[in-house]
Amino acid sequence: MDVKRLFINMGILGLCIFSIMAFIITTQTDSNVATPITNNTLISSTYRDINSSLLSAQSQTQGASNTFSNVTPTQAYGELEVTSIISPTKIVRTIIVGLWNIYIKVPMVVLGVSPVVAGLISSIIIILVIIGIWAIWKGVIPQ
Amino acid sequence: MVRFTDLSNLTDTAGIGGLLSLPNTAYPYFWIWILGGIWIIIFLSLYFKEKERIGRGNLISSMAVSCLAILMLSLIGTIVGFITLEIMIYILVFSALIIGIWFFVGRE
Repeated sequence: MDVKRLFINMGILGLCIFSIMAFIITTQTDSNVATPITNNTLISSTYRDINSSLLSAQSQTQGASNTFSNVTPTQAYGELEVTSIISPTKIVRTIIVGLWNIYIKVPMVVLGVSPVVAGLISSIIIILVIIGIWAIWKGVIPQ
Repeated sequence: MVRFTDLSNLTDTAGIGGLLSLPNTAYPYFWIWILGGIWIIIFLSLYFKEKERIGRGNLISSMAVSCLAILMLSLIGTIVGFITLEIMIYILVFSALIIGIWFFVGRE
């Protein structure tokens, strides 16, 4: 799995989980349920974290887009502006790892997923991200 | 002597919610087993229907789609009042886990 697909999957998964939780919370609030899921602090904080993480993704990528658009076409032929690609890849890493840390918290607490399993999957994801970003940089940074 | 919960424990104003939540007083995980059974029925029906229709079934996508159905059923359960907060959280987390796995391994 390449880093672009991992990033898109993480983002869409976040959106999917967020929309499911939002639907449940809205329906329960409208129906005046006695014990809504927001009574649970873990669920409540996860919902808030996913919301803020998805919102910050937009602002961060806007920043990267501005960096990219500020690149002037005055550089010599063959010389590439690497900061414009380093900035988005750093954001990709932050978003993937950040969202993963939010996702894994709830199953670890509620379903009792072992920290060993969570740690191993985290390691795999981080290694995939590093290799993926390295591959992107390698294609951009002149040899 | 152990006194088990029975229909005499229902009040006159309990309604359908009271009737359905009666088993929870004796065994708190009653509805999680019922919903689990419904989940298995939906998931296997979807899987074998797909297998019959196109020759091969996708196990994880059938599980994820049936999780969405169970989420909706449990949401209705919380509104009626027979699904407790604890059961709802278990169902939500389990469904999110299956849907997450579906996102990463289900597509080709």
